[in-house]
Amino acid sequence: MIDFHVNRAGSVPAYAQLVQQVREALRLGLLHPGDKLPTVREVVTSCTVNAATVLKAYRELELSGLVEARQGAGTYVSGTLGGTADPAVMTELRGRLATWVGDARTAGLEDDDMRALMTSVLAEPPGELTAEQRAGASAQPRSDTGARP
Amino acid sequence: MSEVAIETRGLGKRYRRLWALRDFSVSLPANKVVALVGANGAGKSTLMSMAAGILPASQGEIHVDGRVVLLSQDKPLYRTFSVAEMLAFGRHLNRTWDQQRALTWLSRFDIPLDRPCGKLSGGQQTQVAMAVALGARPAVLLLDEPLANLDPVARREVTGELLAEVADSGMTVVLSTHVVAELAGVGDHLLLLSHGRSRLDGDVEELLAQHARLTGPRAAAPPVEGEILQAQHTERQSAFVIRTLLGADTPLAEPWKAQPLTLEDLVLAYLKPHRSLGEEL
Amino acid sequence: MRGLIWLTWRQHRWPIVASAVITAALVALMLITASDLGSMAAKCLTTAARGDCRREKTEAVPSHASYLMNSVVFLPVLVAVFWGVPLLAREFEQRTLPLAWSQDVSRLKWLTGKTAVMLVLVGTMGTVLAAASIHLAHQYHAYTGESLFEGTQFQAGGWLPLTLGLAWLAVGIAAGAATRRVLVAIATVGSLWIVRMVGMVWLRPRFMTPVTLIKPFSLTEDGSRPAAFTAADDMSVNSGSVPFIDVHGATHPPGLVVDGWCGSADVDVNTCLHQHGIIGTLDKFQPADRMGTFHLIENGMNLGLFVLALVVAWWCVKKARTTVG
Repeated sequence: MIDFHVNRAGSVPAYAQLVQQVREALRLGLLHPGDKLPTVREVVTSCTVNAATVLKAYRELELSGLVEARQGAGTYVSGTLGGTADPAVMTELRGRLATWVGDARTAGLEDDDMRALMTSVLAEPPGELTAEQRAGASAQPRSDTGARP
Repeated sequence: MSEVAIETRGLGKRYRRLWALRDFSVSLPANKVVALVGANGAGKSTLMSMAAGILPASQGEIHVDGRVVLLSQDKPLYRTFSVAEMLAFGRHLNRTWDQQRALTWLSRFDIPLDRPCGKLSGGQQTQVAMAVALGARPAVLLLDEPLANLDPVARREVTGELLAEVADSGMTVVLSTHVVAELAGVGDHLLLLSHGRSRLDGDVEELLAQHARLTGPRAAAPPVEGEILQAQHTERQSAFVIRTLLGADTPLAEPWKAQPLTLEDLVLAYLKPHRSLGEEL
Repeated sequence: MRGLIWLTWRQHRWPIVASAVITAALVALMLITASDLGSMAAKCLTTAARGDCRREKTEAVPSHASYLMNSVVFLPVLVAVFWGVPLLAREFEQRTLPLAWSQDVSRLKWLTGKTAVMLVLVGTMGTVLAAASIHLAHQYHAYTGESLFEGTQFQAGGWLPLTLGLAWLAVGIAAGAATRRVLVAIATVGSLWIVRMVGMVWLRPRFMTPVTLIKPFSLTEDGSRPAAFTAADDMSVNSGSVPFIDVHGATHPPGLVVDGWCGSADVDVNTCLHQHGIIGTLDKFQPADRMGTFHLIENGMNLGLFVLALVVAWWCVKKARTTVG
């Protein structure tokens, strides 16, 4: 069961935070298909947020194909995110990232510089894939229809 | 149940020569949590009293769809009555009474039923007053700074339970408070009063989507058309709080940046006195 | 409405219980005293030669008879202070009115309901008390011969305690509604009561024009001072003492005549009076057959006050402005 936490101080809307937390839990493998999400009432009383907020978050997750609402029974996880099915790939990518971070630090970059770089790369339109990437991409089905919060 | 919980048309209230509310026309949606904010003396209590029917209007009209209960800051209770007797009071004076709902609320906060109300702590008295209000099955519940006596933990709990009640019963809650930060995520609809008039009236999400804080190099005006609410300048930078169609999604040329506002920022921007923009340059 | 009955009882328990106890006690005492007086009167009538108990009282009149009759005269102001004033003034002061008025009951219905409950209770207790005091007054009169039309006996009879109680309950409620403060309302009620007492003392004998009659004086058997002649149940309107009147129609104060002119021991009073042309005493009074009418008039005044006070209270409640914060 996921434990939600809403940060009122930032400018990220509450419902967006809930969606984000579900997606992260899915990515990190904390939630699996078939797991039950907290009821609207439970979230309302534990996070002190509006029922409309929770419903909006759950609806968005439902539209993304990540959860499904079962009449009278609650909301259940029904999908997975991204190409994370393979833990080996995750471990390999993580390793490469760690190396890159090490190199960046040696070059004198600070954490914020690295984040800025990451942000700008992510913002680039998905451009030319290398042959290698194209081969890798077609092998793995993507189930994320990816609406950004 | 209709879509509108409270509707006013040209509502006004005058105390001798002073107008506490003037030409006030709003339409508050049902089954929502309406945040009512404004400076002291802006007319919040007047509006609530008129909605509750305990204060006659001087002008215009106000309609509430269904039973309305007002819970004021001084949580009126009969001090010599026990908690159980306060519930009996509610049962005897109301056509519909939900004893179970009132009891459930009290048991959530461990309020003893046989204690005289005068001997309860301020927070407990608030809970009893709330239980009496909820037992009357209001369609609209007006809360005038009712959580002032509660410690922060209790405030959160009560707000959470109230939100659950809204979800369960379709009740509308109008919450008048000064602590705007707490309203983030809680309020669906914002009604901001200033000097007896409505200054902001709309869905919170929509309102936030229409406002932004723009920062960039020092300039007399922001690069986008819109209502300017705040302007701050330093030697080399300017920051504007504006209201536009697209808010923080407005396309801007570098080096200008747009950021969305928090609910608190939004309220503060409207409550601060309007400054003429030419001054600072 | 049942709910308002419960509420009135719950909020005003102690005055209600205390009043019931006091009423019961007073009624009991009055009935006992009345029966005592009755038996004393019967006893005295069998032994008195002239069938007139006034001068043949073998037992002293129990003074508590007067106190009891006076008590019903003063009870109404207590009803005003302990029942009427708290009804509204206390709720204004403690700011619980918005609580009561934001329930399903309209504010006028709330007022009407609570007032009705109190009126029924006061009416019941008042009726019982008034009946007992009428009875006591009659027995008192039977034994002492004092006029039923005078002073305490008049106020204790004719159902006056009932209408007075109802009227002053309403006055208490109205004072509470108008002043919105318990102590101020009590002070108002007190002042109005004093005005009323003083006013009625002056006004009562003047309800109708008094009858003026020359009563030829009659000497008492033993030849001493002539008696002021009043029929047993008349109301005397003379201020102070009854003046003497002479052939020419001039009046003389009795003190002057009896002590001044004919007071010396060696003078025969009869001859002296005759010498001065004194033919009798000049009596101003209300004849006994008017007593019923006078009771009716005063009851009418009380009921008028009752209605006026309730209208004031109703209007104040209608216009009352309460807000939160």
